[in-house]
Amino acid sequence: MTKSSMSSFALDSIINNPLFGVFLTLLAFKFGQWCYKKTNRNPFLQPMIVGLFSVFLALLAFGLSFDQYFATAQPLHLMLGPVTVALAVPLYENVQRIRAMLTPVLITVLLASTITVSITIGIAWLMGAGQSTLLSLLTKSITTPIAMAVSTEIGGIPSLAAVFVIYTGIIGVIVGPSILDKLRISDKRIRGITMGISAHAIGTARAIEEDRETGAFSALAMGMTGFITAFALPLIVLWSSY
Amino acid sequence: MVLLKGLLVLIGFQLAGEFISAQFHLPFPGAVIGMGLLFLYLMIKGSTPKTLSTTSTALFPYIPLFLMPACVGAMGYWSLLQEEWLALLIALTVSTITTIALTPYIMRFFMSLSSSASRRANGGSSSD
Repeated sequence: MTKSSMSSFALDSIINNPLFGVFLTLLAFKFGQWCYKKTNRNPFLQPMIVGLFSVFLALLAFGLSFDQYFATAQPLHLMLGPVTVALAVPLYENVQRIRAMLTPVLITVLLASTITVSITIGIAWLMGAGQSTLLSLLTKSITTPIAMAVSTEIGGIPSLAAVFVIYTGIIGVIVGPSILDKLRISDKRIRGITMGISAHAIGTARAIEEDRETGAFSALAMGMTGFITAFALPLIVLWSSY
Repeated sequence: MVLLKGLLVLIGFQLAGEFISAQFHLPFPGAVIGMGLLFLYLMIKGSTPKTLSTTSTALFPYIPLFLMPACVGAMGYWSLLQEEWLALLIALTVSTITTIALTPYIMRFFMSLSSSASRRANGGSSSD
């Protein structure tokens, strides 16, 4: 046995280890966090985005297919289920906290999410987007774990749905606060609701930076948007396909 | 041990959701039904058990990490994205900006409606 084949055998044993994907993902995410901190929280450099590109480059470098990677990164992916269930906890707590405002928030969530999805689908359809892309766009303003689960159910592509959700969130935090300032919206409740509906978790993180009340309203709006969309969308898609 | 108990409950609710989804051929993912069940449970119970709030607070910061494996898969749709990226970019950007500009006015309108309704309900004596 030559020296080079020995070392490649040793390398293979790392790459094919059932935890290799987990290790690579943790490493890439840690690197992403480091970059985010170093650039003073540049919204384009969310830890996850830098992490994604790092994993992608590593896969190219090791000559690994996505399926090979995904098989060994499963333990992380599987956590999305319990995390989605856990989203009921902050939703319940925010509903309790902001009881008096529940009806107007609920109506606003319903109207605003219908508007945002209609505009998205309208433009994408006019510009010639295909059916699986259109279906993956339907979940664009709900928090990513719910979006991916729902997207699978309605025939979208969950990984594309996730990318659309994250892009929406980034646009939301980049332009959201300045649009609200220009419109002279200073009511914290309204600012929070707007961020939560249009930019889900990324927007809520930004709203919490503004202040606690804004953050609480954003979290409530994000939770309601996700919850309602998760139950309404499959029914709408099912009904419209008849 | 708190995390262990919390995860046990969360996975339990998810599996219950999967069961209900399969048994009744519902169009909702098991985890989403599990979330609905947990929400109902909390509403009935009237408070959040400490285990659940500790576990969810511990889990949430890692959501982006848990999303990464599936998102790497988006790279596999490179050819699709190459064809449609402009449509997607415009659709998502325009709709998000429009929603941000409209939502405050929708919210303000329904807030004033509901506060005037509650004033009427209180016979006009409420001072909030």
